[in-house]
Amino acid sequence: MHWLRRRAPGEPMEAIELSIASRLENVYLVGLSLRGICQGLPLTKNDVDALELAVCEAANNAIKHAYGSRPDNLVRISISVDGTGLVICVADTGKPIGDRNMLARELPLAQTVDALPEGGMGLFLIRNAADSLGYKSGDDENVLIIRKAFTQKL
Amino acid sequence: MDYEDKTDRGVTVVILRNQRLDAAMAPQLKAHMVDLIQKGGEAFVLNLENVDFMDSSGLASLMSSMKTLGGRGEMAVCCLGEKVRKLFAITRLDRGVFRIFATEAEAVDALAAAPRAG
Repeated sequence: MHWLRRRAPGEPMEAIELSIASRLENVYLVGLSLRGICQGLPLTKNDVDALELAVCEAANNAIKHAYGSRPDNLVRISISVDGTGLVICVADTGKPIGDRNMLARELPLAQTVDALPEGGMGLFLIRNAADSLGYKSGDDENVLIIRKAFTQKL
Repeated sequence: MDYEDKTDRGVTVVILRNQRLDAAMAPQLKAHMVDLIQKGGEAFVLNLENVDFMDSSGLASLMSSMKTLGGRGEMAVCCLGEKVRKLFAITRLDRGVFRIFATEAEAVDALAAAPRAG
């Protein structure tokens, strides 16, 4: 059961925007909001769990890395839906990701805790949830774009 | 973050009471575990039964605790819910890095029986 209606070709996407102050304590609100939206869409439970985790990881990264954990900034999240899937954009106005290769880096298989990488796990989890992942920076804003196609038929 | 700590046959069991082990909570767990390790604890079971949501920072707090413990002891996790178990599987931390047990009793039995340094 979902709430998505059939859409005419070329019809604009439906969208919602959220914003939180750049405090890690606020990130769960983004995750719960996305979960609520996704539960009305043709996605599996696994998809919803992964997307909730992905949007939280993206917001955490914006707060910790783009803003350096300064609490007086905004993280903006937009969620757009059309007949084929959804697009989640997580935007900040802080420091851009320096090494774009991190967006595509695989997580190494570690046998011991000392062999584990110190960072990059969040981006790996975001990519795991998405069908495609984009990133753009410029105009004083950085945006991580997570695209996910619906996995169930309308 | 709320915990319940108890000791059973030399094994310290830390039961997490919160539903989320995320970036907001992870530093508190890390500090708690460092405190327990500095007090001489060598064998730890983290009971994650109540944890419904964990992110990479939550995982990192567990990994950091293991690194702090180093070769002096052992740490296991138990009672993973479905989402947390999936997170360990996706990150492949269930393949030798963490000892994962279905129940607290099994985890405590395994660690209590293991020889320890010192």
